[in-house]
Amino acid sequence: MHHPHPRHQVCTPVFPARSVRDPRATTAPRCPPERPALALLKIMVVDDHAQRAQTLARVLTESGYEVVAQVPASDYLPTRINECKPDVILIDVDAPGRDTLEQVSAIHRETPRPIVMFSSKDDRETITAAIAAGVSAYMAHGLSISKVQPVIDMAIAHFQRFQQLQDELAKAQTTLADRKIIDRAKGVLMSQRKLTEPQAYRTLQKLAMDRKRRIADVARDVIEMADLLSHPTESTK
Amino acid sequence: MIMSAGPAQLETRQLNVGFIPLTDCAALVAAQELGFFERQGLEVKLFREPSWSSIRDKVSVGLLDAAHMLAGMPIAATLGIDGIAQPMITAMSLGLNGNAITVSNALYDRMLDIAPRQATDRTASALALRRVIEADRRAGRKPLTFATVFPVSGHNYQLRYWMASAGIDPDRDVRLVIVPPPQMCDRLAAGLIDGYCVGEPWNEMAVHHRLGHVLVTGYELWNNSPEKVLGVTADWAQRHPRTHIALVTALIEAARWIDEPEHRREVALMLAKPEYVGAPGEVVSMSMTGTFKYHADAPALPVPDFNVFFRYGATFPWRSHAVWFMTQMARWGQIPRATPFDEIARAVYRPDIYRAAAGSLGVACPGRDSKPEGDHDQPYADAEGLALGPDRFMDRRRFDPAHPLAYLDSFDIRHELQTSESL
Repeated sequence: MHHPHPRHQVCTPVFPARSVRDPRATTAPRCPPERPALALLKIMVVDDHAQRAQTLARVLTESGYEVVAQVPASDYLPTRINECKPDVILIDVDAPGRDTLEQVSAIHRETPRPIVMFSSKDDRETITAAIAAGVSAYMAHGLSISKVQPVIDMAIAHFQRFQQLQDELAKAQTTLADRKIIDRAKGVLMSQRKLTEPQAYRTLQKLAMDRKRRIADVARDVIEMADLLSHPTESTK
Repeated sequence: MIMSAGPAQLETRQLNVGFIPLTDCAALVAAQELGFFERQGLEVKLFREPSWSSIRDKVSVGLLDAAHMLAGMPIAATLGIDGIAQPMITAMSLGLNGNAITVSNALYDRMLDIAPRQATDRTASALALRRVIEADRRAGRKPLTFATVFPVSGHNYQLRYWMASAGIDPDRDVRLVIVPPPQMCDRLAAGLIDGYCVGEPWNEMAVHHRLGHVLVTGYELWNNSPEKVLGVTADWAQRHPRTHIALVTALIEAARWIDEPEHRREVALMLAKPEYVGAPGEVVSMSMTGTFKYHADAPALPVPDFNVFFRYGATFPWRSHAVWFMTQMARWGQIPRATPFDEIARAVYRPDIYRAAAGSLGVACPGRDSKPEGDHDQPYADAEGLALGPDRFMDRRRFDPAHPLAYLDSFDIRHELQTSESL
């Protein structure tokens, strides 16, 4: 989907990673006089993670860039690039669609464009390496790295925040799921071996320690074993 | 003189090695699962990567020490045509053949309608495609779309070779796109592409799910063509000479084990696991056990050399193969014709390192580093008595690595870079 974007004022980036943040900065758009207008760099965001791409596009737009397209990595990118003519393409280093971009990179007879990669892995080194590789790989003539840098900074900051939220969410979900499993396994042990609840829990703990595994994984085994024993199958199956 | 080493002398024991989910990453998987890495004193972590770009970039910046690579990748990186410009080398080939060309059911039906005899005649099938393209052009329809996996992939050169052999100009008569291997079937099913050239199991997967028909295997286009290599940066190889030899040794040993017919099924089931290729065992087993189905309702036919991992000198890094890839890069305008083919082949392909590794295993090596292609339609023995496989091209052309430009000039359809420099 290509939406025409209203022209935005250039304002303070939301994540000015390298610029000095004005301590009195308010949410109202302000144009720092010392910074030249970014001449509305046109940016294409390629990400199969729709929600992540959408918030990134919003952040960029609010910071005075023109997001000309948000496309899933499954779109045929060369066509989209010809349609929207972005100055910079932002893509996750681990997006499978990156190979498709190779056609519009230096190797082909089309105009190379800076393709900026970031890694959603929370590992500074990886990110730095990916970016060093990505930007130097496809830095187009006439577009200095200093122009692209703020975009990169923003994208990274955004990716990291997004990843943190995802991780927290995933963690919360596993803890909840783990708790349910452990409760069920305790129930199995209590009824099968006539144990009290604390005894059942300690049994699970000990099993986990002995096998160097997570307590939730041991609990899963206990439940599976109990299921297996309660439904004896015919060996002819 | 390079000497192999005991585990105590390795520069590093921990290695991160990347691969793409394809049948021909088999040597890496078998070396891991069967303990060949360990035997060399190596602790290897395998990383399944989402794209060839990612493999290249991560090797280039050192996040991966080595990887399963398309044969064209170390050459492209060394020539600096891939934007990375990081000299890379390969000391071993990871196998021969393994690809096929698949088209959608709809396109296959049209080919069958228009030219039934040619559509079913494997290497001539491109002639049937040409008839469809001509009919489309007369009717004012938009061109067909074909996918390969990467600009410098063997698949790109094979698909173009096959099309051009029938007078189809791949840069004018069709639209060529790049799609990662595991996405091919989905794109075909969605009607976004009309056909593709890819490695296994992604052709048999389309057949299995009745999404398409295989027209021709890579083996039929060029018997025992080079396909994947083990790639590392030149810098890494210089800093880890012993570790590099240990890695190559483990992989040669794994390749030798895989090529024992009685081990093939076991390897196929290993590969099928979700952490490796992630495809049904029966689909991966097809080509791995030397059989192949061109259509869902056709019987499985014997194609014993569909995947060759060790026999026929398959692990040897022939410099002539590097030169052949460069002739195709020049043919399609990726590199200038003035590229010093021989010099690059010497820098990138390193049979010296291979020989040091193979020597420690007692594996026979060819005495030379290059060989012509296209002379044999039967297995043959080279001067040292090493058994090599057939090397015929579908169009009976001959490739002499000593005269790459003559070979390049023998193709009618080509799009060389227009350079101002006079040669």
